[in-house]
Amino acid sequence: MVSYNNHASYIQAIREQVSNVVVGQDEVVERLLIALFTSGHILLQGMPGLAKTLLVNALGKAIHLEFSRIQFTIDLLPSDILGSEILDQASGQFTTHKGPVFTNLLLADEINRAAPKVQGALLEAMQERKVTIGDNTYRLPVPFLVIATQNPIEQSGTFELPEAQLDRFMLCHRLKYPTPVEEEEILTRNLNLGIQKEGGGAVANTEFDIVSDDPVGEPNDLISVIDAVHKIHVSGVFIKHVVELISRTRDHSHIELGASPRAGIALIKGARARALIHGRDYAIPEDLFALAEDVLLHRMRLNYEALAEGMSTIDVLEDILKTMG
Amino acid sequence: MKRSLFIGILSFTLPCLIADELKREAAPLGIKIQLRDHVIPGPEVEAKPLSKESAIVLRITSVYPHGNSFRYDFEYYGLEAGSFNLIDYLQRKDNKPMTDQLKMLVTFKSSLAPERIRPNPPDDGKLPRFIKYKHLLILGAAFWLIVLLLLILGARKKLKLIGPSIPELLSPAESLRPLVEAARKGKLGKSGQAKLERTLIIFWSQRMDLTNESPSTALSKIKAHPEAAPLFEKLESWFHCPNPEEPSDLDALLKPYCEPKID
Repeated sequence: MVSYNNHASYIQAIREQVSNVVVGQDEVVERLLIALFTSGHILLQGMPGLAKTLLVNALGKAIHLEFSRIQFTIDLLPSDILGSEILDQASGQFTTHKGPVFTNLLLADEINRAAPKVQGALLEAMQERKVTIGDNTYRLPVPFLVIATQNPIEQSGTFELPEAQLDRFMLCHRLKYPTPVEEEEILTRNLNLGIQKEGGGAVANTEFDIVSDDPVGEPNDLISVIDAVHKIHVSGVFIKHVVELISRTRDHSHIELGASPRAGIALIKGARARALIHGRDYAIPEDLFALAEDVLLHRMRLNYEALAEGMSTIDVLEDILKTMG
Repeated sequence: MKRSLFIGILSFTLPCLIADELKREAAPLGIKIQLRDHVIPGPEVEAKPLSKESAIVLRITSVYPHGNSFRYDFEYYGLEAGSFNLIDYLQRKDNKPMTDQLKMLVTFKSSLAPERIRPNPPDDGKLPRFIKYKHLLILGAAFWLIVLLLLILGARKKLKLIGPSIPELLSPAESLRPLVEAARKGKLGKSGQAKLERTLIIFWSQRMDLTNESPSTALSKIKAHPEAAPLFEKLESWFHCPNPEEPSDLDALLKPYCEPKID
């Protein structure tokens, strides 16, 4: 293992290790790191097949974090996520069986496919960072990062997350398709995955088989980075920008529900982490503009007039940012 | 001899008997009357077409063979008061003349008084003489036009209220001038500094024609511009650095934005 004293080189090493497996998606990796460094949670919205699971798997292994994945379905129960007490017939005692939520990186795949009570159980664990099973309360491991995914199409048979629960996600990032150059690289890499022979049989390798199990740096490096993020300077002028932006989302004539104070906190936290990733020790308006979409869009709701005019929240947010003089 | 005498008497008395049979009580005008199983000797007859002079409307509803003759069901009603012979409203199908001796007398009476044969004229309207119906229509149309205009004006006013907010009446260049003046005099607070930075971003994005770009991309391009880059770099270190220092060349940096007309 290599210990990185320099935060920038540690972050760069993580990004490089992830990019060995996942082509492109630099912005998503940056957002995941921001969420990880600020103890936030992230919701990824994107079409199937954009390497969301692979990305989280690669990131988890690069940072030496435990990783779990839950595929949300309609018949999932809260106990399937949180855990339950099981009667041990031999001893006649109840033993606690901890669910997959007890991990560092939790990938909640297609979170909107589960019933609201399951979503609620997870979102409560996300906020409180502890879980109660039977009479006992257990703290979740540190760090604890939930990466939830949502498919923007196929809305039938899904339970849309209400605004109050969406607000728990620090960031909501919309994944884009790779560029033609990146797509070409993906296909070329896929040609060279090879096969693995085992027990007299053989199977074709997948991208998951080439994810390196060697972590980058040491666990202390992550702690050091999280600590450094909290020391990033945020000026009074920057806070004025954030307050102006948040209040404009509330006063805009096309917005029914504007950004909450939690959104302002998320903007400042995110800007700090982004500043560190970009090698600065202070946040600048560029961080604000870069993160505004991911922090604010899922917290804003258009009013009837805007919907009738066929507007989207991104149009309104861009209007706010462009006229924020 | 006896037989010929009998036929002679019968042919003389039969039309009278038939006429007597049809003697009925006078029927009111316009009320349909039905006459069934009436035998008319000779070939088949039909109703004459109606004319303006027709005092009776007569229809043959059914015809049945009856020996060498035909038996008829009639339906008729009167249009004028008086006695009329139904035979006058029939004709042979073979166009031969009807027998003069045949009579089917019917009488109709009018319910109106003899001198009252035309309906009363319509009553005069209750409107005062100076208001005519045409005037009323014009007044109604004018009223609805006024209401329509009020509705349109009201809707426009409402649309203006919910329309996109106009952030500033001043252009970015005009907004910049007082901020820059205050900055040069060292009288710019945190709010002023924030407003100055934001207005400079808008000013440069308009100047570089980046209004269609996303704000994040626009800012990156502005910071790469040879003229704008030094300004933003110095502003960032002044406004955002942990140990801010006012740029020594602030006056020179901001001087272009104090000009009466900025490009």
